[in-house]
Amino acid sequence: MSTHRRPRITSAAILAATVLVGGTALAGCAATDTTSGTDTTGAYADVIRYPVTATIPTLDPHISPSGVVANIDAHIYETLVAQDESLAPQPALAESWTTSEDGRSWTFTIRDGVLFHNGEQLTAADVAASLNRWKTVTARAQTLLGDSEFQVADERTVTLELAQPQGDLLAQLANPLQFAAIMPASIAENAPAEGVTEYIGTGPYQFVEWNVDRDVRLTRFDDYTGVDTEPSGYAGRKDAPTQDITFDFVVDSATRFSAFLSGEYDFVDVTVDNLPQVEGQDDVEITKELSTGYVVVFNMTSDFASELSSREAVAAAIDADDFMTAVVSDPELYRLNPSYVYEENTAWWSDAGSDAFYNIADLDLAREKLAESGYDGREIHILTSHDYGEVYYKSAVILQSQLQAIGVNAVLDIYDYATLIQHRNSLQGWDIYAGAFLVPSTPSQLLYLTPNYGGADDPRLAELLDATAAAISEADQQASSAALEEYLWEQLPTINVGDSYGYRAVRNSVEGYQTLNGAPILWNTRIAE
Amino acid sequence: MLRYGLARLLALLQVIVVMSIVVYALIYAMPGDPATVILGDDATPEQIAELRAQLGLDQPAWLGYLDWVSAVLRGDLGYSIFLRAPVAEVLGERIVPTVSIALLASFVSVIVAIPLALAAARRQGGAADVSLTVVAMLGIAVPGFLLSLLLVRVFAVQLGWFPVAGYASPDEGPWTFLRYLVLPAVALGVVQVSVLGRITRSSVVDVLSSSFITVARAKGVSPAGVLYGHGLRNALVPIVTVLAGSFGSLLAGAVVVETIFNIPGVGQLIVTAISRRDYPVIQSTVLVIALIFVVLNFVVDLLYPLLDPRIRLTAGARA
Repeated sequence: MSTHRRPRITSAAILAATVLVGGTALAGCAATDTTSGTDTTGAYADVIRYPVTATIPTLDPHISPSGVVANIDAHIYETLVAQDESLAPQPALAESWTTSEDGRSWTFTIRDGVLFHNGEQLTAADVAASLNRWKTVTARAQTLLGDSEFQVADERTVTLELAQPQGDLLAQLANPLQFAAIMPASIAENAPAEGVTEYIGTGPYQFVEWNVDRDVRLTRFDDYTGVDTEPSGYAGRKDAPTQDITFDFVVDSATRFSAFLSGEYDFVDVTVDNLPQVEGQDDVEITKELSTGYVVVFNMTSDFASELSSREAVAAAIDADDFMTAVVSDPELYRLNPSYVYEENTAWWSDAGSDAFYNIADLDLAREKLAESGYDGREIHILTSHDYGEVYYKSAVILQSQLQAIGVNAVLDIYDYATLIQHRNSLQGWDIYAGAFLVPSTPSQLLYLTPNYGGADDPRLAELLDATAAAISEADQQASSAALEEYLWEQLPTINVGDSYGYRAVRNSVEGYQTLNGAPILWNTRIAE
Repeated sequence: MLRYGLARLLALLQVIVVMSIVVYALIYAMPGDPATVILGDDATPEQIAELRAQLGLDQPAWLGYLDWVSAVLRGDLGYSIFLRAPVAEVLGERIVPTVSIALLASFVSVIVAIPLALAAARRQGGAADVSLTVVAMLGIAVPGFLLSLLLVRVFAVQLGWFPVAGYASPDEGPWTFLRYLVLPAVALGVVQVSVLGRITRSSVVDVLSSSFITVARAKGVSPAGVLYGHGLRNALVPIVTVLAGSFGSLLAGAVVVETIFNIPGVGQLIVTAISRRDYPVIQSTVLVIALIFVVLNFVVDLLYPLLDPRIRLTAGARA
């Protein structure tokens, strides 16, 4: 899942690079060697301009589930623990932690000498205040932590007492979306409901300005002190070799691509249609990265989908290859996956129970199940939207045609995304929803299994999810995950279809650039001029 | 003249009031609200309710309308939920690129359309006439987004003369400012060339066939004098009407071009405000654009007697 990209050293920098640490050197360490004599000032760009694909409503890392907000904020804020490229939690602001034998008491020791961008020293009080706010405003954290609060033990120690053991805690604290960012206590405690307006963190870059809908500008934080380990994912050393980073909001994909072609940007996402234009260019490297998982979600409160045999009919009707080909338009851009997590995630991946219904495309069985459910030919509503590059719409269209093939009178209800969210939350007037989801690192973070999403208010499911969250040893994680997957394939509140990839193009003049699950990591990046 | 002006002003106010009610009603008929957009996919109903209350979205629609109208009358256009700034301030910023593009597009269309139309009118069926017809056809037939993409491909990506997209404020220097505006202005202007060119050509042809032109020619006025001094001068009324109308639609219709060229203008503001349900921005922006539109038409109406003294304005005749 980590699609770590080794930096390529361009011809312009070959001399400098050979004097440095060698071919595998990450540009991060190279950056500290700008005094070595072969590298002259001006050889690297002072600013990295990175085009992001959607505008944002807030920059508050605790509130917004948006990937774009998370990508920008990852440069400003840090967390107690950070995901490395294999998605394992590594020390970040916490230099160490201990947990009691029963997995219910946690103690985190905060790294000494860390400064906020406003010059204040990071203390345990800031950590506790930030995490308690994060816990209150993030649904996922609320489910995880319940009434437990982070407590200040001393200047550099934070403790947490849980009602039940949570093996998942570190993974949740390191989750890069709607993340457990640490900010000064004064800001976290006084934050209004629509989000903080002062963006002060401890990261390698500090906030300069946000020109709403145009760009967010960051500049290097000169007093940054981080950990000194090899950079990997969100963890490790952060050298900030480039002075400024600007994230430009460029919503139109054709505009982003043209701007890349003209040289304005050195990074871009590439659609299948545009691929031939950059493929085979000497100065551009194309990477293929895992991006999302496609899932069909039932409204468990609707007349149609509350019947198990209807859900079985839908599952039997789905041909996952056809489905995925229809949504990504290129056989290179998907893979089948019966599990709700990526197969690289060996701790949690499991195909238990998937034989019965995953990708069987058995139309006779589907018709039989449909007859069993007593379906009378009424309209079945698939909720969808043209927004977000048609990922929802394409899923809905292929699902509609696969359902029509077994005699389901499936219709599309198309809304803009804001309306769609409201309809979905109301659980009224729709039966099925399908689309792309970010794939989390642990099963308990699966968004569509929360009760208020598809209305799957199922005590057994909640129990199985809790069991995965509580699992600490690898054997327990495997067993709890297998039990959950087996139950999901038996009860089918959702149907997993497959994983999708996206193409990205990066110019070879870019050094030290990494991504993790498609998120750009720019703090060790520099661009040769 | 005074009575005429007052009557027009009254009609203008009626338009604004009706428009404000329609806009407000439309917004309340729209499902989805800013709270769900801000909090996103995994918000709990309680969190949404709390934010709705904080944003003042839980009050009845008629009360919201009255609040809004009384605020607007006091000169307060409201406060944007997403942009975290007064709508007046945001609009003030966003209208600069949009008006600049509209002005530049009008300029482009005038310098291309008027000479072409005059040449076409002078020799009907000649080279200028044929090219005007071709440009007019293209302008109407080719959608703005396609033309924009072609312009970007050729002049920004291949030739590198202009930036692909984006906007530079006038503070960054007049040359940089203009460089960013040229392609969007041309893309918008071409449609106007077709409209303006055809109107100018037919008006001038009309005028040139009137008897006073024959008299002027008989008196020995030079062909250029006939064309500019009489032909164009007398065709000014329809030309100015078309120009004013198209300027208004340039302001309101820059949505596609602003999206493709990633320009933070009024069109983009409205589109994003709608998808985010940023009610104060939608209401006040639509109101201001409608206001500009009607005021522009009002001014043009008042200009008629200056352009053509034969026109007399009376309340009975035109209001």
